[in-house]
Amino acid sequence: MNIVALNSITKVYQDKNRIPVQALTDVSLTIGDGEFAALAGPSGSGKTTLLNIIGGLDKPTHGTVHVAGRELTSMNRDELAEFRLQSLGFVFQAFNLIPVLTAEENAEFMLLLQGVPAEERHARVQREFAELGIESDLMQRRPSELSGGQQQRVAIARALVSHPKLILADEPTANLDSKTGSVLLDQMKKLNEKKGVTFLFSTHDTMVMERASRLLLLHDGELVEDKRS
Amino acid sequence: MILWKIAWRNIWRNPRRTAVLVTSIGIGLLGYLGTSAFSRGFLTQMVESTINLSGGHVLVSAKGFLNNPQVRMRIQEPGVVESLLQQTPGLARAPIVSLDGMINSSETAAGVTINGIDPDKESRVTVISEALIEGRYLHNGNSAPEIVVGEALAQKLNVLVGNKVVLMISDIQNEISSGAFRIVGLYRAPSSDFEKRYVYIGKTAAQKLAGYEREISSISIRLQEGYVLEEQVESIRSLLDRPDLEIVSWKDRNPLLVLSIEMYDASIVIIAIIMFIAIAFTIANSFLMVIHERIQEFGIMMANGVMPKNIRRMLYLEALIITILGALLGFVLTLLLIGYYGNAGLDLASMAQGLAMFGVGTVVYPEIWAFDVTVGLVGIIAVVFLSVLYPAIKASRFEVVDAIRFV
Repeated sequence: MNIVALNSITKVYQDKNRIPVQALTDVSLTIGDGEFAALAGPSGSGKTTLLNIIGGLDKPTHGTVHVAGRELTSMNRDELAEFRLQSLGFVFQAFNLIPVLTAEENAEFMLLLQGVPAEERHARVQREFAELGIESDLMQRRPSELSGGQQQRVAIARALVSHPKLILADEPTANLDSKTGSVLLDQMKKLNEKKGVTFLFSTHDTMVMERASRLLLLHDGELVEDKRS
Repeated sequence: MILWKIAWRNIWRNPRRTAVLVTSIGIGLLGYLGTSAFSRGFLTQMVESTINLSGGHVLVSAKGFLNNPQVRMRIQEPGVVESLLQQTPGLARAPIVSLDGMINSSETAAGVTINGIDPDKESRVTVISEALIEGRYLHNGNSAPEIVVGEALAQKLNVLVGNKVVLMISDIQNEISSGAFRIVGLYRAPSSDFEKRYVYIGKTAAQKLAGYEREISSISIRLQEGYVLEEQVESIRSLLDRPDLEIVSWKDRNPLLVLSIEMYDASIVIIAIIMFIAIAFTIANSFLMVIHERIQEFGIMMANGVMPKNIRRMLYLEALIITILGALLGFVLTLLLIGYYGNAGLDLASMAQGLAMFGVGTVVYPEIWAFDVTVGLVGIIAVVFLSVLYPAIKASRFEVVDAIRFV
């Protein structure tokens, strides 16, 4: 079963000088449930744009986007927010934790929005923290008091605790040293295999590409290769 | 709940900015409430001067006397009127024979209004008996040739307590009528004009001077605490129900004062609007900065499932908390300031002459009115929410993808 189905996605945006830029051209692809896939390609190839469209953070100029059985292009902002809350998890290059919340509060952020009871929230957060190797003494620290690797673990925990159908990770290792990046990727791979969570990365990190079970290569906004390992 | 937490923590993320905002709101509220409290105190003193010095709350007089206070305008049967008024318990009444005439000293003369009073009854309605600064009040013997004059008039006439003056009027027969009176006391009123205008003699002496038998000009009435003026006036009107009588409240007698109060009510709203607009710009400016600094944070939140309307709500929560803190500060400062000056009074001796023109003493006692507090509170809440409206809408309309990338 496909969790993502893109049909003829084209994205044209205007740059700072209001000049139209073609970011994606007629991209069609499907991603199956439980895949560990990576979008790869040089800078400016459209990886992040495609990931944002799949995540409902951006809309295509043309084409349709089906994610987890829902068509995203016809949804309004509130519906998209609710969809992201219930079905998706995000891991960003810059970690993107909420600075005024502690590690634990950041991790349980989506559960709070979903109205999950406190006991279950704490249990789920502690379980994810344990699986990701986050020490309990870090739970009450704010993002500014954590290292890059620790922040990214918390961000992954935030993406995982709500049990999303799909996790979208935009260059998750770009701001990490190779050792930390490698450990985190192994942990994500383990979660994919153990829990069947679908991961879709945008990356040009070879470590990610090596671990991905499927590699989608973009070049100048076009899907030029779809390689399965 | 999580939005409350984020809102609260964001407020203390930049304590200096929060302190500036809270102080702006607090000082703005203090400025507004302080101004209104001072003005209310000023107006209250003018009203109290009017009620306490002449006429009480309600004045019963012969029809036409108030517009044309001539000697022939008089209540023919004061006993009947008084016995009717006795049916309403709790009314303090004082009969007055009011005559326009001249007062002559050995050096000069002045036009005055001669109030013939029953000293005992008068002291229950007006405060002339308590306003004496020299000598004594009139004895209850109403016919004694004694007079109490204002301090300013005594200075004008160059007379002292113990001196004699001559009162001269045109009596009921249109004949010149006069009598010599010895000054037994000097009184001081908030207004020097009042001191120059009114002199007090016994009622019987005044009746004799006017050529009256039992007639009087009017009956002043003081109402009990907690009265509703309009209701009481109506009740007295229906009780007396005579076409030859005119029953008016202090408001009817002082339309300019009533107009001043009404104008003040309107002007305080204008003052409030001006002050609140100034506060609004401070708040809007601060919140635009807040939003600019937190664009990425809003993007993260929306990416993780927070709806745009909840971003707006969160900013409103922040504004609400800041408003509550600012309002608390403003109210505490106001209570301290007005609490002190409300008891001790604000001494404006340097403006004594100007204040006297308004019938107000040199010490003004500021007072807080529920109406002004309500306008202040509602105003400040409205202003804060309107100020945050644009920044909040702006924050909720960021494109998530642009907001996340914003540095």
